[in-house]
Parts: sequence; C-alpha cells; structure tokens
Amino acid sequence: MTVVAALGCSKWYGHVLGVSDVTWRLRGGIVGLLGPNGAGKSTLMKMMAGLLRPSRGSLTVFGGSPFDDVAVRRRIGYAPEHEKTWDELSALELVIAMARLAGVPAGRAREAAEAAIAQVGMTDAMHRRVRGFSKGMRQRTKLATAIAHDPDLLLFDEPLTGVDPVARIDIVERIRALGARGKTIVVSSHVLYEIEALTSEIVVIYRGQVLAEGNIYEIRKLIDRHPHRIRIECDRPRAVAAALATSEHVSRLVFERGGLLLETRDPDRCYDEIAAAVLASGVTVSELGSPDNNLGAVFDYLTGGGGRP
Amino acid sequence: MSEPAPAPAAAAPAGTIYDLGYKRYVGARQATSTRWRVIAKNQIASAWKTWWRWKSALAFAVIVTCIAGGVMFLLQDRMVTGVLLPSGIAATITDAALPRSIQWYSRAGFLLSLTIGASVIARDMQSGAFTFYFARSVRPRDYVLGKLGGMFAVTASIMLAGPLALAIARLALSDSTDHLLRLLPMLPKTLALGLVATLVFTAVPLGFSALIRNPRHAMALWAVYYLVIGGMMYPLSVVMKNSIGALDISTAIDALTFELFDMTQTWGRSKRVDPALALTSLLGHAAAGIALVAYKVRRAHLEGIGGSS
Amino acid sequence: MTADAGRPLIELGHLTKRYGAITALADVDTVVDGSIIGLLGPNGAGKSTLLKCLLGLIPYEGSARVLGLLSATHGAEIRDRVGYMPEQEAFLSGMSAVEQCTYAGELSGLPRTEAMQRAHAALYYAGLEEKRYQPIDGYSTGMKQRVKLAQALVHDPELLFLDEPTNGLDPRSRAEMLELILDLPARRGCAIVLSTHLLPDVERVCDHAMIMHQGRVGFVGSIAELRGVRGRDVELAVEVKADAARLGAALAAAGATCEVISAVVVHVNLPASATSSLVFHEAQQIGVQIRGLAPRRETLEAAFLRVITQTTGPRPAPAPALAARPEAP
Repeated sequence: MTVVAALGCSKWYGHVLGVSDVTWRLRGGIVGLLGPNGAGKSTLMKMMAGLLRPSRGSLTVFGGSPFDDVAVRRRIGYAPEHEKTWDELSALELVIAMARLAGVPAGRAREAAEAAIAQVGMTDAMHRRVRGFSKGMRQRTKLATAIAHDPDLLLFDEPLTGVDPVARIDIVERIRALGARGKTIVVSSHVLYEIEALTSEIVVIYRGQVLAEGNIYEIRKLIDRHPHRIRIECDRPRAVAAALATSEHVSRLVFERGGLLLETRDPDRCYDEIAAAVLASGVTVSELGSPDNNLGAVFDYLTGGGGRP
Repeated sequence: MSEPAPAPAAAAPAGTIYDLGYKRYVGARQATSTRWRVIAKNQIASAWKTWWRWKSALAFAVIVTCIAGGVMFLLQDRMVTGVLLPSGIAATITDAALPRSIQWYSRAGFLLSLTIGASVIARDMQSGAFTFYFARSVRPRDYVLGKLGGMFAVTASIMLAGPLALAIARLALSDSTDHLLRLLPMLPKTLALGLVATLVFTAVPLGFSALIRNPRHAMALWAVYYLVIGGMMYPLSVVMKNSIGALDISTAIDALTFELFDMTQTWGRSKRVDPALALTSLLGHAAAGIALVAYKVRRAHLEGIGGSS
Repeated sequence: MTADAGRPLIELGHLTKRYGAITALADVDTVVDGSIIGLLGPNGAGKSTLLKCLLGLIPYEGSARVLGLLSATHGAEIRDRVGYMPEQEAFLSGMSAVEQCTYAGELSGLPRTEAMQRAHAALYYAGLEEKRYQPIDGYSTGMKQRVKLAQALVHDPELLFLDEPTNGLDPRSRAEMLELILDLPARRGCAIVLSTHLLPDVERVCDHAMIMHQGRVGFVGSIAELRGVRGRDVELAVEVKADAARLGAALAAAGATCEVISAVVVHVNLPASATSSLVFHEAQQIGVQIRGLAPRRETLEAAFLRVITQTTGPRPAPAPALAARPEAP
C-alpha cells in the first residue's frame, strides 16, 4: 500500500525553487525527512499536507490529491514548525477547535480531543491556558492537534525543538507508540540524533531533489566513494600502526588524540587484521569502533560535507 | 601575542611572518553614563538612512522656509488680511509670515513623527532589540534618554531650525538698526516656541511607539490621535464655548505662536483657545509621552534575556 | 580558564530568588569553573533566572559573583566584560552586520574606531565575510546565529553565555558552530557557559557541566566526573560480526563475567588484572571477528536523568535510552 506517491513533482515560487522533479514512494512506517535548510523539506511536507499544489507533476496521498480532496485531507495530520496559536484558549479548547476544523463531528470532538491529549501526556495540564506553557508543553499540544482526528498519515516538522531532555525522551516514546499502532509518520528535523532515536528509515532532500532514501545503514554501504573509517584508541597507537601499515586493506592512517583513525575499503578483512595487529603488538585497546555508522556521518557524506575530523 | 622582535641590527631579517593573532582590549571603557549619547547618535544616523523618512520631511521644511522667506522679501509692506496687530491694524506680510508658517512646519513635523517617531520603540521591541541593548551595560534610563535625545535632534532640524531661519531672515529685512533692535526679542521667542514644538513632536509619538508593540499600529494610532481626535477638539471648543481645543496639538501650537508674536488671527482656530491653556496642554502632552516611554521601557527591558527556559 | 589568577568564574553564595509565591532559585550555593561549561536543566529549572541574577539585572537574596565582581553592585561592569548570545532574535532592523556589531561594541564602552575594528574581526571569526555589509533582515538562520555570536564577542569578553547557539541550524552549520565554540577559549581567551537542551552538543564541546532542576543545582563539575569515568575500564561492551554467544562462553571460561545481549553484542566484565587483550585473544582462538569494543559508561543522557531524579523525587521511568543500533555491516 502506497501512502504517498510523488511523480515528477516540482514546486516553484516564482523564481524560487521549492522541489524539482521528485519521484518518490512512501509505503509506511516512521520516516525521517532530512536536508539542509532551503533544500525543500518544508515544501514537500506542505504538499503532502495539502497546503500547496505541485507546479508540475503530481503528488498523491492515499491515492488522492490532498490539495483538492477533503476526504484525503481528513486522513492527514500536520504539525508545522512555527505556529501562532490562540493563546487565550486552554489546551483542551484548542485541540477541540482544531479537531472540529479537521472534520470531527461536534458530538465526538471533546472525546477525541481528550484522547489525543492523553496520548501526548498532557492530561494534567489540559485546562490551563496555552499562554503559560513551556516550549515542551506547546510541542505536545501541537502534536495533540495533529492526531485528534485520528489521521493515518502524520507529518511532524521539527517536533522536538526547544524541548528539554527529559520531555524529549517521553515525546519520542509517544511518537514511536503512534508508529507501532500502524500510523505512517514523517518527521523532519535537523537534530539528527532525534531522528536516529525514532527510526532507521530516512529520506534525504538536497537541492530540491530526493538524494537518498531507505535504511541508514544500507545507504552507508552504498556510499563507496568514502571508505569505511575505524578508530582505535589504545596506549601505544604507533605500535599498532606499525603492524597495520603493511596491510594492503588499509588506505589511510591518521594519528589522533589518544589513538589511531584508519580508512579501509574492505572493512571485513580489516577487522581481522586489526585483531591480529593488536595481539601481535601487545597494546591494550580501550576503544575500537567505527564513527561512520550513524546518521551524522551518512548525512555528511551525502551532502558533500568533506572530510569530518 | 605581539609581533616577533626584529632581528638584531647587525643581520638583515630574511623574512617575517606577522602574528595576526588576537589582541585583548586593554584600553579604558567609557563610563556607563555616556551610553545615551551612543544611542542618540545611532538614532540620528538611522533616521537619515532612507530618503522617505527624515529627508523628505526636511525637504518639505526647507521648501516652506524658502517660500516664506521669499514672500517676506518680495512682498514687503503689503498688508495681509486676517492677521491683526494688537493695535488693531492689519499686519504686513513680512511680519505675519513667520507665525503663519508655523502651521506648515507643524505639518512637516507631523510627517516626520509619523514616518519615524511613532514606530521607533515598537520596532525595537518587536525585533528583539531590547535584548541587544539591556544585556549590555545600558540601563533603561540610558535608552530612554538616548532615544528622546536623538529624536529631539532630528525633530529640531525641522521645528526649530526652520522657524529660526525665518526669524533671522526677518531681522535681516529690518529697515534700520533701531528697528532691528526692536525686533530682536523675536529670536528668543522663536527659540522657545521651537523648543516646545520640538519637544511635543518628539515625546508624544515616542510615547505612542512605546505603547503598542506593532510599529504600524503605533503609527496608525498616533495619526488617529493627532488628526482625528485632535481634529474633533476645535468643533467641541465652539460648541462648548471653552478652550478644550487646546488638546489638539496643532491648534495649541498655533495659539501659542500668535500669542508670542502679539498678533491675532481674525479667523482660524487659534482664536478660540486660551494661550496659557495651550502651553499647559503642550507641556502636559510632552510629559505624558516621556512618562509613558519611561514606564513601558522599564517594564519590558528584561524580555528575551535568558531565553524561553 | 579563570579570569583573574585563581579566581573561579562564577561564585554563588546562598543565592535565592522569589517571585511572590514562586521560588525560582532555592538557596544555590556553589562555585562554577571550567573552560566550556554546559548549563543543563529541564524547562523551569531556573536557568533564565540565574542568568539574570548573574548579569545583575534583577535583585536577589544571597550573593552572586562573576569574574570576582558582585553582580548586585557591579552589574554594568560585569555586562561589559561578559558576552551574551541570546536564543531569540536580537537585532535592530535596517542595520547591516558590521553596523550592528560596531554599535554593540560601542554600547559596551569601546571607543568608536576600536569597536569598528573589532566588529570586523569578530565577523571574520564567525565566518561572515561577504555578507557583512548587507542588512541583517535578509540573512538566513545560520547567518543570523553567526552575527549573534559576533555581537557577543566584539567587546572582548572574558566569559560568554551562549543560549542554544545551534538553534535552527542544519547539521553542517551546527557542526561549524560547534567548531567555532570549541576554538573560542584558545583563540580568544574566554570561558564559555553553554545553555542548551541538546546533549550531543554538550558532549561535543563541554568539559564541565552544571545541571539545574526546580531552582536547585543537581550537579557541578567535570563531564568525566558526571559520567563516572574510572581509571581502568573493566566493564566492556563488545560487538562482533557474529556468534556473540560463543565468545561469551569462551570469555566466561577464561574468568570473565559475560552477558549476551544479542547475536552480535556481549557485555563483558573483565576479571581483575585482565585487560581488553583478553577479549581479542579469546576471539582469535575461536575465530570470532571483533567489530567494536567500548567501556560501558553511562551515556550523558542517562547521567543527566539520574541527576534530575536525585535532585527531586522520582520521575516516571523513561524509555530505554535511544534505539539500539541495528547491526553494523
């Protein structure tokens, strides 16, 4: 089942490029939407939310056009990055109002709103005015307005900005719970470790186009322009380096604070040789690992960040 | 971190690389009490920036001066209808030109206050400039004094310089030295009038700009107050047969002008308004404006410092 | 890095601030020192109030000294020697970056020409070379953050307060900003207090931390102390290509205590006098490939939560911290 299908989709604002010729399918699950500022993430999100119409090509959600078709829009929940809400309302009143706007019938709105608020953990504070809320509470309220009408596709733009570490863990858990219930969720964020906590499926937008999509680690494997890096922290790095320098699988050796960073195009063989070198030289290894298998490194390589130290 | 010492005089240096490294500031820091001058200078410089703010009002004032001066020179000794000397004789154009021109300077002053004065503090509040100022060694009183001082200088270039120029022209056109000496009191009178007018057109718009956060709304409110509400005061005066018209700034200035120069108008608003009340109204307006600015700035000056958490 | 010889950066003596019935800071009594100090805490912990007290902007009970100066009496002087990079926008409309930084310098007491020179130097440092003559209104988020940093640097401060400096920046700009911050103590001779919610930022740049909660200080000290780094690491997490269970068994036979976590991860507690070489030795004997080895230290996030919980009562248990990394290739 395809949730979102973009086909040759482009969006221009006068001369300004939003997205250019995007062809992409989203089948479900939790997906992280990444990209530098101005690359087109917000444009793509707004098109999925039905706020913008593609200038060319098509973008369908659940088989219909979100811009034109109200029935499709009712199945989508969007929590944008910036929001000026009606601060005089209480959280509950606000969520009820937004639920009504999203098509929930008047009789059921209160119940749906209370359920949504419970899902984001705001039940204690739901009768307080939004004006006095901290950033974390505002973000939770925003999420509640997006899920109140029980949509099948959720679009969250920077849902964790300004949220303190304690609340962040809680909100991440709640988003994962929503995903486990079968909702499709697209989360856009610049803070890569937040995305990593939520999912391993990503879509990278770069210069208005989809640059990469899929599992972070599979994508990493495909970037063979950049060799695999392995870091060894030990008491005598030069001894290990001496043993490894003769290996044909090691393409680069760099001495760093407290250890050794090496690059290889054949990690499998290299790990074996490292173990042999460690035992042969008799060093004590305090840390061994690859700094590459995280989203930050993948993103860097994809968007041409040049060598990170 | 300073330049390497030059080689001993005996050997010529083969080559030198200068250390462009960071040098700490070891000089004196200006006392906190001088901050207001920095702010005032900045206010003046920023007012000068575009053509349509200060420069257009100034151009208007210059045109008024030239026309009034030209009229004084070319149409000497012609009588003007509508302006009477205390003795009941009609005044000459040369004598009447200065008082009659004050109205026009008021218009230029209003234009200036609308484009700059009424939005100054609101714009600062909106753009977060208060955090910029008050996280430094600037106290609310320095800010208030600086803004008032800067705008006073800007407004004085129209409401003080213009009438003074005309006063000097009048003196230059006097018939004899005796005549000149008799006319000399015009100078201090014009100075006093100009100062009061400048004060009002500085303090009151600034008061409005401190009252409302949105610069455009502040400008609109000032315009409504000056034109609409002020405009209603004179008809009220007629109806109620008292001097409530003094609450209209332009009427009050006019009344004060004609009183100072010992002339009366046979028609026009200044006839109905008691000059003493006019002066009180003007000074009261100015005091209210200053008080409003001081109060609002003091209340809001810690906004934005420390962030949202 | 301390400003005056031997004097700590910040000294708080029974600092209390009440707003009517609400206590924003409750008897905070501590000394804060270091090169780059992370200031952490949930919303409402009192960080904003603390900053206002340190800058001498609000009255308080007790004492607060910054760079040796008492903030209640020398607030203006402190603000001349301290730089502040706010979280929100703090610009004057219609001015260019150079004009604004010069103005900032003058407002901190520098003479005009000195302020102009330093404004340019600060903007170069922050990486804003080409656009610095254009009005700030047209800048991107990244550029605005850089200007905010330059503004805080122009008057040669000895201490900098940075409030969420990476807010709104994309990953590349975030990395660049953190690099700039890391460099500051060495290049500009100033210490930094970094207030943020992003723990990875703290891990990247900070050497010390101060954790606040509900008006109290839960922890002040070095990051190493916070995470309980001990001399010799005996608790290890070992990642292998396959067959973690076999490795676990082999190590157990050699005297270590092992817990097999998954098909590729095993937690090992080394016996006394053994080093990590034992793991490599056993692995080679049985033909298992080691892909990763690291001490099982508390993550910064876990340490943070621990401190928060200790500072008040218990909180609802958080989810297991961060998704377990899927198997590496």
